[in-house]
Amino acid sequence: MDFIALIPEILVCVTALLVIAFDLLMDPAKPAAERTGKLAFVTGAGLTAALGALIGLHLGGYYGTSDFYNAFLPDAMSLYFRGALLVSGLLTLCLSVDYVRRFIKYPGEFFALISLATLGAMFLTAATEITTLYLALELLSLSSFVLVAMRKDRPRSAEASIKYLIFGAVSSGILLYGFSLLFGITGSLSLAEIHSYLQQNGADFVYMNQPATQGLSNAIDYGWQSGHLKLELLAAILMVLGGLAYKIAAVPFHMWAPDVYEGAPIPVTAFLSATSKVAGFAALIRVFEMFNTTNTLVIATNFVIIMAVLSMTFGNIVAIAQKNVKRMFAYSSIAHAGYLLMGIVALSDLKTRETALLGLFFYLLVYIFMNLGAFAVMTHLSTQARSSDLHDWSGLGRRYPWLGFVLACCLLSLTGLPPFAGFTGKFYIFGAVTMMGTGYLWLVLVGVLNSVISLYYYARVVRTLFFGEPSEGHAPEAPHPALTFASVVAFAGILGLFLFPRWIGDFVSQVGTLL
Amino acid sequence: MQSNSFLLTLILVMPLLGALSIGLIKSEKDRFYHWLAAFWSGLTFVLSLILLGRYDMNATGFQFVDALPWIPQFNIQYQVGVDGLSLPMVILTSLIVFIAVFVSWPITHRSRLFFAMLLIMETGVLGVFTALDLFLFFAMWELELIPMYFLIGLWGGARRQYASMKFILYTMLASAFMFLAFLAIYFLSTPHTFDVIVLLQNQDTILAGLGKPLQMALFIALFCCFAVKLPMVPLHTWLPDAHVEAPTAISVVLAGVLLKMGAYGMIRFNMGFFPDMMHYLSVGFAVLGMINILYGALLALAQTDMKRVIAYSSVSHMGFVLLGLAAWNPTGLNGAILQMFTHGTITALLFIFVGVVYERTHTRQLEDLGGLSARMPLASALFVVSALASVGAPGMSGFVSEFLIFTGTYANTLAGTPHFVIQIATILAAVGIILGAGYMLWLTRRVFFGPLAERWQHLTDINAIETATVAILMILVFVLGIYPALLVDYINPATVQLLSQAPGMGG
Repeated sequence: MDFIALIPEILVCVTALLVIAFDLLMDPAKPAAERTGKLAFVTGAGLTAALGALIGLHLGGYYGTSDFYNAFLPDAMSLYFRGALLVSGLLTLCLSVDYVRRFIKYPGEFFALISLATLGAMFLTAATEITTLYLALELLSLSSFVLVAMRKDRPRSAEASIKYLIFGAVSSGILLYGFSLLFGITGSLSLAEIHSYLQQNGADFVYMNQPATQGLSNAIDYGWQSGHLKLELLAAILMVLGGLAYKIAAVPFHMWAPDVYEGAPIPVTAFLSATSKVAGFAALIRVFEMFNTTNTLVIATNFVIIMAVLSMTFGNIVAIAQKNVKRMFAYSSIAHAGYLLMGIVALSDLKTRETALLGLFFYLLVYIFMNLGAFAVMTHLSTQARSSDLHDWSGLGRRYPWLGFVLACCLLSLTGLPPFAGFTGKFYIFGAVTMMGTGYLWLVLVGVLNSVISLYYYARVVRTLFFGEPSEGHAPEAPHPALTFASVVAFAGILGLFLFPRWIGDFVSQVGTLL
Repeated sequence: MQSNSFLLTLILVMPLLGALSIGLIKSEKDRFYHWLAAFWSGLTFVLSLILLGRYDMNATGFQFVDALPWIPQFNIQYQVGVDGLSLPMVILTSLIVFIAVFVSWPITHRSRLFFAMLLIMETGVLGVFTALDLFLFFAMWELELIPMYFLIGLWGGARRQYASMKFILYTMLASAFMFLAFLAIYFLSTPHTFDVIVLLQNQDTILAGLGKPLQMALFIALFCCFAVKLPMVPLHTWLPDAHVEAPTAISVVLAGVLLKMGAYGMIRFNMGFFPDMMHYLSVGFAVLGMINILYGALLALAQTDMKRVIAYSSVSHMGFVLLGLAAWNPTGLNGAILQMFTHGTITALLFIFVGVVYERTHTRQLEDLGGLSARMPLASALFVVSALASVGAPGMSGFVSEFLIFTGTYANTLAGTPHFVIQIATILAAVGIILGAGYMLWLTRRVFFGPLAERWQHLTDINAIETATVAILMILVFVLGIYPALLVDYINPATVQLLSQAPGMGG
């Protein structure tokens, strides 16, 4: 066993435990606000150390010598996503300090859970075996359920948590059932072994030359026509993909997202929208790669195409009608799941695979910056306006010029407008799908038109912030330095990745086999 | 591979630096940001004049090409350069924006943001005219949108929010089709390249390989995008709204420069990439141009708002560019490119006068105005000259370009029925000149002549800054009207180059 590759994870785990320990040692008589700063510092130091260790390992060209019985693959892909997730965790931490100080009664638990959820997400991106993948997913999910319920003074927070929990439990069940079918079919838990088994024996699971039949029962027995997958494998594919689609909030597995996003404390919403989505996509990339075999690819790809089109269109159209910014971001996040699923579609073709991987990697990193940048600003604005309804934010861009500017830039990046990296990311993903051939141009058209729709509701936020008149009332309060720092990092991220996208491409070209 | 001179890059970066300096420097001084913006846009203009001076007008192809690698995975470069088509546009842009800074002298409300946005937009527009990489071109095309959204939405008239939203959605929807077309050009053709120079030189091998139906689809996608920007009837409805709501300086820039992006795109990409398609469809261009000219002119006759009259006259005049594209001879195409330049200067003039009148009376409704010449003699005299320029009176640049377009399209070299259809379209379009004379003279009469209302007794005449902006443009209009070769000599090599790719034209 080569535990050097796991140093970042160990550090994150130690951080979570340290935070809990520190919290115990502190004088409970002191108000929570005083403890918050110290605890946030410990968490930040721990996560930074983990990020440093990760980068240090990579700079040494070290990818680990062991793959832990095929369970944890420290390859270039997991390195990339673990780094991205640590950045996401750190940014979330920065933007949440002020909020936690004001509203959260148990800062120790909050920071420990953020660390644990990050830990789960990091394991998820590197998991190449079904039980590890499932456990990592559950670690992320369970931490998230509690985080959503952190605002004990607000019933909506608890309601959101319960909804999230129930949906999560059902999806986990579906995912597990799919996995159990796969295990039954292939006799293996390793993604790579399942992949090679399906590659070799996939033909056994296809109906061949069955006579045309009448009636539903016969249809199920023999397949609707020859060439279809047998039911057990079909069900396994749909269930596994569907179970993961819950994590990334793709239609039709998105129902939880609007209520949870709205009910959760806003830093937690930020965390869910970035970390949860990125980790979910990393897992989906690996699982999709597992189904990338001659006989299973078509059904998996078609399922992803359907989800992509539905997510983009539904997310964007419903977002137009939202008045609450957090809810609007839930639908925006659903729409982005759709764009990213287009990248998964392009993974299915050998000649577009590299472009698609670059697109997914790039867009997911940019997504962290633009979403967390927007949420950093929104955390401050909603604290100041004491509301996350858009009409209460009128003119706030004039009161906080820098924050307003960053929010506008992040929203434009989410729309996919230059000069921000969101544009480059969309270009990669749409380009990969275009490259698949003229038969997929309609999908690109759907994606591009959806970007135009999204401009309408993103621009409405910009309009409210800058065109509206600020209401009279309390004096503007300067944002917490950590929050300003998060907004600076996010802005630098979306602009820097637009101007210098090269190194991501260089890095992604090192990614080899994903299983 | 020639070495980079970075002159063009410098021109592109100047306005951006200006915007940055406005963002970083804080000053309470009166009109501090006005002067700062004037400095940076002036510097840009001076640099573009240096560019003009060092441009070799006898050479064909692109000059001052700067190429730097950007995204090597996709062969995307930062590549800019100018030829005879884009050089006049670069000069026009830097001039019009420089003038727009002085036109916006009365703006004091949030002037800092205003000028920062204006300068960012200048970089975007200059980038569109100089970009020689499709990725860069698209980025620049979109970069211009957001500042424009703010400029109309924040400093505009009563319905500014509606107008700005309509503007940005219209343009964004149009550019979505362009994005799709560029993706298809890159990913479906081999070798994958975004390099405009390579694509223009090898369009017959690279792009013709896509097959006719796909080529036609791409052609139409690009055309739709540029037609919105031009604007072409029936995709023009955003323009009157945007013009009416925009502040004067922005109307000047919108009509003076932004509409040219559409015409430029059509010539550079539709004509350059798909000459066969363009040649095949030239009858369509002539007819659409004719409709634009007549429809715009007729609508201009029916308006009651001074700014709307000029907005629709813009629609009408941009129709001439479409018409000129149908000629397929140097005369017509030179005329079209010259028309882009002259329309930029003349319409800017007219919008400046609308601003002058509006600044003093706070109305643009024709029924409220009249007789202003009694209080504003200099303004009305200058307006009459500008109106004549817009009508196309000889001795001014509008006459030259329209004359070139008419002679060019009438003498088109197409065979058979298309030849006659284009000739008929040309004759019908000439009616547009008469209509143009109608609405311009009528506008002049209703605003400046007739009885002066009691409440306009206190009006002051055009002031020094306004006169200076008008004078610069007017001198340009006269100089080009008397000696058009000054600009046509630069344009002609590019025209010849473009036409050499047409089927049946040799080359």
